[in-house]
Amino acid sequence: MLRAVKPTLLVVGALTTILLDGLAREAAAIPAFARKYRTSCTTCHVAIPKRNAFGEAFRRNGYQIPAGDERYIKEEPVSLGAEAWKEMWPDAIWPGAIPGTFPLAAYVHQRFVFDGPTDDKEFDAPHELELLFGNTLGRNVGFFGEWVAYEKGVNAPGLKRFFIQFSNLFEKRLGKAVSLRVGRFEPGIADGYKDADRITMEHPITLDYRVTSAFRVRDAQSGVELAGVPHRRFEYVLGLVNGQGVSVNDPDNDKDVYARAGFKFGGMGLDGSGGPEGEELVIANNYVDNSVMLGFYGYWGVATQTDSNRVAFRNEFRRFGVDARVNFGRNYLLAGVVRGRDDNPSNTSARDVDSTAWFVEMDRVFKPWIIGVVRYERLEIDGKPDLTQVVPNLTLLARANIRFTLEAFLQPSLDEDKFRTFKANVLFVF
Amino acid sequence: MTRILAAGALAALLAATGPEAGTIQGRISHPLLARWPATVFVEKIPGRDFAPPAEHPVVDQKDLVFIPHVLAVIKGTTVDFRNSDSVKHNIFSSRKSPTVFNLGAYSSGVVRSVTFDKPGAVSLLCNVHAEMSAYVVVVETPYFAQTDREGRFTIGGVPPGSYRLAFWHETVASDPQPVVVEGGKVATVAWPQPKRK
Repeated sequence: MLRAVKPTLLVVGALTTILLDGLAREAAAIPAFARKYRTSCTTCHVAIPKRNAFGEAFRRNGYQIPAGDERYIKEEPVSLGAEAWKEMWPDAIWPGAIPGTFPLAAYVHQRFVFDGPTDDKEFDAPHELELLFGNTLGRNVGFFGEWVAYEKGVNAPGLKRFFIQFSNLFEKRLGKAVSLRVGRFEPGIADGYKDADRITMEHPITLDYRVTSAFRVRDAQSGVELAGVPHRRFEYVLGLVNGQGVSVNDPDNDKDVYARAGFKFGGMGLDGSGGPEGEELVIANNYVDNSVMLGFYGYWGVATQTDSNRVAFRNEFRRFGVDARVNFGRNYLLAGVVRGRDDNPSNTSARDVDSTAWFVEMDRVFKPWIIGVVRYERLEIDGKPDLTQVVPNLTLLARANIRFTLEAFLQPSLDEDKFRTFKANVLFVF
Repeated sequence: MTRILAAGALAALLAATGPEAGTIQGRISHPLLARWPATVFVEKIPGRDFAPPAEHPVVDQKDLVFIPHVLAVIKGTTVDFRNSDSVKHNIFSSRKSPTVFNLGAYSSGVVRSVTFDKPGAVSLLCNVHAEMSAYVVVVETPYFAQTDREGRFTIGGVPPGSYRLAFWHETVASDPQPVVVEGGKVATVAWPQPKRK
């Protein structure tokens, strides 16, 4: 059971006001699931939205508890047909269900920002309001959506993600080996360190950097994705998407493809095996999962863009990445590297641009409600150092669904203004 | 809420030969049994037939729900299907059931009956209300019981002998287990964890 944090320290932190153009956060925690199972956020999250091993298995399993979902449901779905209708198929519609209540949750940021170079200080509150949708439509059909209703003074910026997932296809023969996702989603190449799972406000550089304006690893894309856990220690992802990121309609018929393989040693299985199977879900100390996870991915894409003279041009590009995650006791060590090649990123003389980005991050759970993070990351373009960034972060959970964050953003590679920003953030979800 | 008719327990008591009867206890360990109980029963005993009860057990329809959700009966039992609702219902069994029937639509207060002559689980559906569901589990001996939320069961009044003990559940299954009953004693059966059907 989490204890309430005395407000004094938190108020002091929150009043340290700083200015920065806040980057939009993407949400993965969803109180609709907390309502469905009458359980705390901490069942699936180390600190919202960062998932623990059980939460990751829950997501992979199509937002169903791996060890018998029906056992734990407290909010009865509305049946669209009794189970026995399956015996009447194909002369009847296969039975399904919808959530008992409309599966909506809210995710709200209040932020105070200080921009070092300009000395600007700003209350950015509220910074963002997101509406989250997520639940299942009967067994092995799940959905998830994220709609930004307000962001930095702009109402209704729009839909970020929405997809339906058909999980565990041909389950009796294939188990959890094949699931299909359709819609708009964050490509699964970064499953080792999903942007929606991160604890920091700043995005890891491997997910965030651009060589071309049309591609960034973390951008949600529209398409289809096959994924699965054929063995409890192995996962794969195969995707086919429009490309061109989230905000641009596909201007050509070229599609991007990607693939990922992940291997986990130790800890809970990727399919949730080895997890809790008791009467009730476990909500405490779920951040311990002594394990090592390695992932490898490749992304091949084609972007059609226009240059400053409004001339359309093509850029064929690829990214190859490796990520590693080590969880030992209260500590997480994460690392990732991505190598990229863009054949024609700007329709200028700058062709065949090579890029390398990598990061190393250490998270430590000092107490279940105090988490410290430090991340070091670098970007090189054509072999030359382009950017070095350091992100220290302190996260405090006042409640399982109320999180305070203090975070700095430093760029030691700059000759001046190495200190860029300081942010104090309050996030609450309901 | 699920109820199961006590016809089996009563029949077992009548069939038992007084103080020589034994008891079978055990547990089926699976999380889904907390949601839907299982019906545990002694499989057919070669050379022995048991007469069905003269009184008809009832499956009622009230507030768009079958009551009970699971009814266990001995082979040959006639079950009355009563409509206590204010709307019409149309009970029928799935075509994969051992007894296939369709009672047609009928109104409040009407009772229609079906005799279950073949062993196995009969899935009941309503053509008007797709979410309604129930089962009639037809067994061949009067020795049966329903599990509690922990998966535990007790079957009393079982004559001494060697039997096969089986169970039916709507989502999980496992192979029957052998059991030897001695007079005046309790035989314990523990199933390996069943798998989802």
